[in-house]
Amino acid sequence: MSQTVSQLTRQPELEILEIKNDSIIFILSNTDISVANALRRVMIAEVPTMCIDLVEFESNNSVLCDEFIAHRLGLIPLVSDNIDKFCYTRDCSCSDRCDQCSVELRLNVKCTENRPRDVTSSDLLSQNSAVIPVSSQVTSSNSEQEIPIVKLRRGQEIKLRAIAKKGVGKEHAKWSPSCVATYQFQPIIVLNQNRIDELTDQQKEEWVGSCPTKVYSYSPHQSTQQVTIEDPLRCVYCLECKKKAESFGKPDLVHLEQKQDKFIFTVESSGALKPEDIVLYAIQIIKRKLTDIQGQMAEGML
Amino acid sequence: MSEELKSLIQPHIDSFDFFTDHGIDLVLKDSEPLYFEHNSTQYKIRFTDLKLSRPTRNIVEKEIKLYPNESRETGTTYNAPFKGAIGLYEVNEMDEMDDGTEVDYNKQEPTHTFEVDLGRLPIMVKSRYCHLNGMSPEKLIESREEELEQGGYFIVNGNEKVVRMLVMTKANHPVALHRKAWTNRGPGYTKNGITIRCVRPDRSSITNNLHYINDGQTTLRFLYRRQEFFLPATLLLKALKDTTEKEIYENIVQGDNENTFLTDRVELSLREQKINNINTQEEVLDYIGSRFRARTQFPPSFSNIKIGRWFINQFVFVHLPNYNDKYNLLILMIQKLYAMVGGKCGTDNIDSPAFQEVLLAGHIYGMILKEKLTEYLESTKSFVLKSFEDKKKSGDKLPDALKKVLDKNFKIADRFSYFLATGNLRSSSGIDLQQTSGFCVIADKLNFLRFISHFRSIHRGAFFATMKTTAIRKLMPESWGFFCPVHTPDGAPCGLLNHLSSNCLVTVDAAQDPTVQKAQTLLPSFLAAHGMLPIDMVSVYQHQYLTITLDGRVLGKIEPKAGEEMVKMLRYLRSMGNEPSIPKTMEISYAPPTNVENGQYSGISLFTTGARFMRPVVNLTSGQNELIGPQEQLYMEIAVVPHEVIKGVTTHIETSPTAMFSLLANLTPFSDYNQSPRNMYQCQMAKQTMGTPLHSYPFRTDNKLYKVQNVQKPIVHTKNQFKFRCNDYPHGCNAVIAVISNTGYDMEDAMIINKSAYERGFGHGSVYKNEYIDLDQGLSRFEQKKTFFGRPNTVVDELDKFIDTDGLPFVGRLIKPGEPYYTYIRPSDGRQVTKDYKGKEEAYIEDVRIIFGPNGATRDPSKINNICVKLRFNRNPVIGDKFSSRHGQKGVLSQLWPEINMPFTESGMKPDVIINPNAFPSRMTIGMLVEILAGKAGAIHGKFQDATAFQFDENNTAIDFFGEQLAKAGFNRFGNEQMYSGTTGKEFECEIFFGVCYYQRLRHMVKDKYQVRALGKVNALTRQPIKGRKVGGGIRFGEMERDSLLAHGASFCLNDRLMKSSDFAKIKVCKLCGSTLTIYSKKDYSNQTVSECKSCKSSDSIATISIPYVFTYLVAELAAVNITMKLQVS
Repeated sequence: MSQTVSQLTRQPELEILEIKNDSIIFILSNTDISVANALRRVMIAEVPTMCIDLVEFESNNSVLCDEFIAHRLGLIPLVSDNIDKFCYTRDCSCSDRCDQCSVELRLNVKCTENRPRDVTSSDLLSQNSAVIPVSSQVTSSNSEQEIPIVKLRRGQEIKLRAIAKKGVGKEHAKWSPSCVATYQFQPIIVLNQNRIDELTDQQKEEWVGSCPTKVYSYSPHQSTQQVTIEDPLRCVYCLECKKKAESFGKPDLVHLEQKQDKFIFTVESSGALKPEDIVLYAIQIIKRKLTDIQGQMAEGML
Repeated sequence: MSEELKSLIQPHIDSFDFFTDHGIDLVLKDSEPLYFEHNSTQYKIRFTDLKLSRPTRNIVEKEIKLYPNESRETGTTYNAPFKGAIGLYEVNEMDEMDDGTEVDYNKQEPTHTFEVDLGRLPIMVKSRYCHLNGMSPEKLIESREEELEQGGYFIVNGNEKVVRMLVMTKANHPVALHRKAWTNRGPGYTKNGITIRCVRPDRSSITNNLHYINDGQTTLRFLYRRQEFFLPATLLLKALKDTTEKEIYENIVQGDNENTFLTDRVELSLREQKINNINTQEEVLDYIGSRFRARTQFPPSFSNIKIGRWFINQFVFVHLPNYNDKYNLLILMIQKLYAMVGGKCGTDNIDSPAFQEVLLAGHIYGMILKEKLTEYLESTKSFVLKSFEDKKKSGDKLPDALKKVLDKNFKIADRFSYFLATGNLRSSSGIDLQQTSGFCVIADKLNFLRFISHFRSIHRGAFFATMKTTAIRKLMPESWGFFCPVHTPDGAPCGLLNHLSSNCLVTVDAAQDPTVQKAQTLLPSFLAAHGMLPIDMVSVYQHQYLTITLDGRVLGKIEPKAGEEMVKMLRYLRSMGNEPSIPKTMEISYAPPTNVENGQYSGISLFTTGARFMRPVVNLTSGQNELIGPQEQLYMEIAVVPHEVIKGVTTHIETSPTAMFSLLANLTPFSDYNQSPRNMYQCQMAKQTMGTPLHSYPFRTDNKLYKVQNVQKPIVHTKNQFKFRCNDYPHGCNAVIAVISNTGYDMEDAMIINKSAYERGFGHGSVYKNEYIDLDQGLSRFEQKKTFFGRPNTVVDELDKFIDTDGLPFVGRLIKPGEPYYTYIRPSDGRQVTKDYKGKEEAYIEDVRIIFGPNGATRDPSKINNICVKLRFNRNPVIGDKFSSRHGQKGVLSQLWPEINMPFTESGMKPDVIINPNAFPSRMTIGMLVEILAGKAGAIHGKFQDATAFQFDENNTAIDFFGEQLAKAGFNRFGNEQMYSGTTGKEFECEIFFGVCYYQRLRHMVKDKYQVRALGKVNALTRQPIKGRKVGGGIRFGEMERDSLLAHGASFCLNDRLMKSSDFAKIKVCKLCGSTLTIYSKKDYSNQTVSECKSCKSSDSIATISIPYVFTYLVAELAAVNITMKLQVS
């Protein structure tokens, strides 16, 4: 029974299935739930981004009150690709704030026309061209993506100075870079073809139709007349197929199991960071935490 | 403009329009002259004119239009000048005539006319006299009103006041009753009686009771100057018609000679009244007049007959001017009374809507006006006569004296403002109402639903709230479709404060509706043409014939079979609405002849008066909507849904099965799936929701206004939500909800909110408060109107951060408790005075409005002495705030739980709200489960879901319908989902019910309720801590709390709480006599305080003991009743 630590430790693997502009799907395997969940939690709450945190109003006679507008501004995602170049205000060497730890944005809109003027995220002017509202990026010039802040009527004016700071989702949800960060277990679905063959064509069709997410496929016109698994990843473990099989009196028609060491992750970005960056940052943060613990253990602090 | 929304408030507006357009004239026409003698000449005074204008405001002797919002913002009353004229007459022979015709006082020419200013009368917003009437939504917004402003309320001192609807006995309909109290009215009086509330065209009323006396006689009771009088019915019959006893006998018995019970009694009552030997009508009138003469103010020249007539005109069946009609009605009432006593019919249930109608603002206005006019004349008379007693003025001419008095007399309109401001009715006669207070309530704009509900609420009467029996609170089957069975508060006013169903309407008076007026004259001949025997042509008495009455006037008789046919025909014609003699709003009540014990007295009663309840149902014969009343409904066959229709029996069908609900009850989704009390709770809670009360926030100065940010339309809604424009005033937010017992923070109706959801704005809101700061308040008269805001010491006072140079606070600034608030200049020495912000909660200054008084012409910015500051308080959810779904499921926020720890579904969804599954089994709010299911399906498919009640049944269940939609989107059809723990990442063993539910934030917030005390004020007498949150008092440590400490044996704690932390005191006691009262302290030669017992003359015997201070109070109190208390001190 003399196993070394390195033999006990598993080597987690990460396989990317799909990367889009705003989402990533990858498989994390050969590891434990705790690791998968840690990754998920860090992606939501601990990957830092830039967000408006302080707002100084100079003028606001719009219909919305100051706090409400400030809150809305805070929730506008800002491009945080160079987040590493900023430090937290609390760690910064400056006394109040400086360019190292914050970015100033300005909003200065007055409605002079007779029709309502929509103030949107595109009216926010940043002093740092790298930290701008996500919707103002060149890649997304689509005006539908602009985030409305307030509507002004003739004579109404809004003039303010907003200061964006670095922060994490733990502190306030606005700093969370991910809209969705979740995983599911890899399902193992085994069909008992013998049992399926016992079914009539109509029953087969009914059984395949019982799955709300269409995991199985069957076409009576197919030459093979076989029920096949189209996409096991679609399975949400609703066990509708199992229930249907039981109603036919064939509980062993299908076998469903979750593979406990293989996780399919889906991460969607708010736009502040690229989805793959969220994952990378998260891994980096976990590593740093572990190193911290290691260091402290070595020092005998733990 | 939403017509549906308008219809909800219409009764209030209609009634006020009735008052302004017709009521004033009717009251004036009816107003009685007041007689008095001066220099041995008989005079009389009476009102000859009353004139109401539209609301105005006075600016430097100029009247300009006053708009409601100006009154609201300045905290004044929305009122209009009310003027009148009083005529002085010398009494002439026309007054003294008594030929029985109505005297038309308007035909006489007064010797003098005096213009009188009656003050300013509060006007109902959006009534015809209001400037907002008929305005388009754009214009309304220009006038700083809501786009959907409906009016129906008054503005008194800046508050919006509603005159709440009040249940009244149905007008002009004899009601058979048993009332125990009646036995005390005199010897032989029984509990049996018939009561009739007679309503004049001006809506003022007099109630007459016909009492049954043991020996078989009947007497009619009426009130005159709050005193009751009884007239024997047979005597009254003779006074009403020159008739014979034989005729009276025949009229009552109607050929039913076999009925010895009836004949015996009629004979007896006729015989009893024979004693006085007064037989002819004139003799009887003379007799009545002579009896009442002493109590009246008529000049001596008036004959007794005239006075007798006056009494009958004023107090007997006042809805019928014609004596023959009065006679016939009295006969009918006697018949009904004998039928009830003889067991032929039962009593009527006065608590049922079948015998009820409504009292509205305009009607009360008319009643008050009528009474105040009389009081005005009376006080004028007494002041005039008094002024002549003064020797200096005794030589004055009468018109001059009168003019002087009139200028000084009270202002009638002020009485209306008082009535609206307090809800109290100060009346000399009681105006035939059962209560004197509680008529008006503030129309609270907490949210739209609460506001609108004020106009639909109808109260049974304050008198009934004190009754011990619960019978009046019962939900009557008769109230189906008229009063909402769901929408009533639980607790004290349960069943007394009801709400009208959403499509129940209130009829208008004939004066307002020409078709009704026309029909009233056409109807008798129309009925006669269709089988009715007109009453004056009935010669063959047939007691089984049905009596046909119209608004309490006996029209004729009809053979029972023909009567039934006639009713059918009348209803058909009413539904078609094209027969001029049958108005749409006529109630056709038909009580068929029956052998059932305690059945209703048979007959056909037609009603065309105003203030009755009506509601639409579909007539199956004509296929048209037909309005029906609550009394006729009892005998109608109305199906609720089409499959209930029985051929040949069913005549009508409901417009919708949800028609029986009020507006609010109709908004509860899937209310048919809930246990019924939960729907009641929801009606309560909807009215406590922090919602959107209005959109014109900048123009409102309400004491307190709530606002919730990020409100949404509910995904799951009912049809009424659109019909009544409720989506324009949303009051909640669609929350993702998981029903799971997760952390323990969801126990006992607590709910967990996702911290990130909160941070993204869930339930965020604010409270607005307005503070009026009037510098003149509390100042001496010398200083008033000379004190102004200002800040001359700008350089030295170091207030630049807090206060602007004009002495007013900065708009937009966050002000903290104790900070400087405003400065003003004291006129006495010209110095600057700074006042601090007294509030206990930090607030933003939303705006500061400057109020110039009524003489606001001098708009000098340096002379501001009255301002209104609007403060905005941040009220984002904190732990302890209250939330609820729309199913009576309220809960308290117990924890803002970090998102990463929240359970999540396969797709990564995390709930906004977690509630405990234990909230469901005992409460059985299945509707909420269905709503969550429907909400989830709706959210996925991007559509709103219809949740109107009664659309699903056993064959077509809601679960199947919405489950199908869920399955289509790849979800479990029962709404369950596999979830993972956010903390461990592991899968939960069971599936979790997960979906979308509309959540409301309730107004109960910790910030308004928390109470803490360390040190603070104490009661001067007992030195114990005072109570009350506002004054920083403590929370009572009561008897039960004390008991629990005793039970624990926690004696130190007990001593600490009840003595040390309360009124601990050290007092001196004399060891010899044991008294604490005899000890006096004085200074000795070395100026040291020495105590001495005065009774023992000893200073050595003094000891100091620790006791609760109240003990000294007890000792003193006992000493006052001659009891000494001695303490044994060792």
